[in-house]
Amino acid sequence: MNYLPLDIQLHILSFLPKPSLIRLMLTSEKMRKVCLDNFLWKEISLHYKEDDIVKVLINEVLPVVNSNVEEVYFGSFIMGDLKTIFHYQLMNLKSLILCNAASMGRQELEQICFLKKLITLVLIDCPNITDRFLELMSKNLKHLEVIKIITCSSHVSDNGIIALCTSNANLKELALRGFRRLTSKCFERISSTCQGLRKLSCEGCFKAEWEGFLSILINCPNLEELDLSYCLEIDDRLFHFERCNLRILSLRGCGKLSIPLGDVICPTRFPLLSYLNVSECPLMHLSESSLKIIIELFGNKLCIVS
Amino acid sequence: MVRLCSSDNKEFVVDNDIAERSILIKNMLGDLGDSEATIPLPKVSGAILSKIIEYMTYHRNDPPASDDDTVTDITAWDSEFIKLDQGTLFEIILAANYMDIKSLLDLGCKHVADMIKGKSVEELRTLFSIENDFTPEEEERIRKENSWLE
Repeated sequence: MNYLPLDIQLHILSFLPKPSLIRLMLTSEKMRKVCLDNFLWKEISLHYKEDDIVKVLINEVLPVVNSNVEEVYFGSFIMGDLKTIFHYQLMNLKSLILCNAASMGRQELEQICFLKKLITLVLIDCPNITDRFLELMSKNLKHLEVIKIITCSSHVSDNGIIALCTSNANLKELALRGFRRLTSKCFERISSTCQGLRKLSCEGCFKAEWEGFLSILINCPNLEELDLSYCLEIDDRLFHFERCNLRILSLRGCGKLSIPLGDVICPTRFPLLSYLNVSECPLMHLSESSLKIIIELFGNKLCIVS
Repeated sequence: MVRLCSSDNKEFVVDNDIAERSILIKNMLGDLGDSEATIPLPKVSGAILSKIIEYMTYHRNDPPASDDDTVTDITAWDSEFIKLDQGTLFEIILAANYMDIKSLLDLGCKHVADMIKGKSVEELRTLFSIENDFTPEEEERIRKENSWLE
């Protein structure tokens, strides 16, 4: 391998998953120098928990390449290590995706606030998020375009989310799953500050009423996807708008919706709609024939899940 | 028809569309303005060139490669073709790089990457005859700090 020119060696190594690259790095001093080339560490993905690999990453790799890392994806992970990862200022990090953030405490979360160039932040299973953290984040992070916080605690209120969204007006995707305390006020504010929003997912925001989501539909003309699954408070007044550009709409489990579907779902209101989920909506009266009529109106371009 | 001449003076006569899978040859033919010319390839041996012509012949009708080609799956023919001993494989990679045949360069490099995947540190040293040139102190330090498992 060492006899190949450096650019070819790097081309080979660019096809390697990070654990393999780390093992190769440990074979010799020469190999280590090649494997630590900055070009190879722009993106770091670790899908499984491999303790030895994580330790080498932290002790041998990050101190050398820290300023070049732009994307981090960690699948399942152990917390003790995450603490140390943020000690190496990943000052150019643009994308951070943590799939198992359950053991992230206040300190680790606060480290995220110093990643000032962050554009994408995805935290899955993150029960320790609080308003205070979101407010601190809003003071430091101003370039976020994608925020996904999936399965959060019930500590977060409108204030935290409003702070975060007002300081990140370029937001394009927002997913807030299981934020049980959010109300319409929060989504009304989002609709006035983040008008470029393309995707919004609010699964399980039990309390949020129709007003907030109606403002989103009216004020965000680029909105393509809206997931309101299990937003239990939404009622028929959600449809008080004339036209939207949604491609995907999920109203799954919105138990208060009772309007006949044919009255609101039509190509003039939803010219681009291609997917509609109205399953678990007990008051909707969805007969086979009525669904068929709607699908025919859309010229078979629409897929309805009921 | 184009005449290709290897480093050990072996001559191969091939159709232009086959030879032009190599951007190096394509550019040389363009510069010469003479489609009957003999193209010298002083960095490629006859044995390797004949393998490469086999590859270019099979792929003669592929659409031209673009720079932003995303990683595509390796076809069955390609994966059979690239099953070579390590020495030949590295020579093919070097020649593909020199002759500027991007798809073959990628195929070879991906194959080497596949050989590396899932192997332990010791297996990798054996596979590529990598000499362990860490000083004993350095190796001890890495082992200790990382409880590095073989």
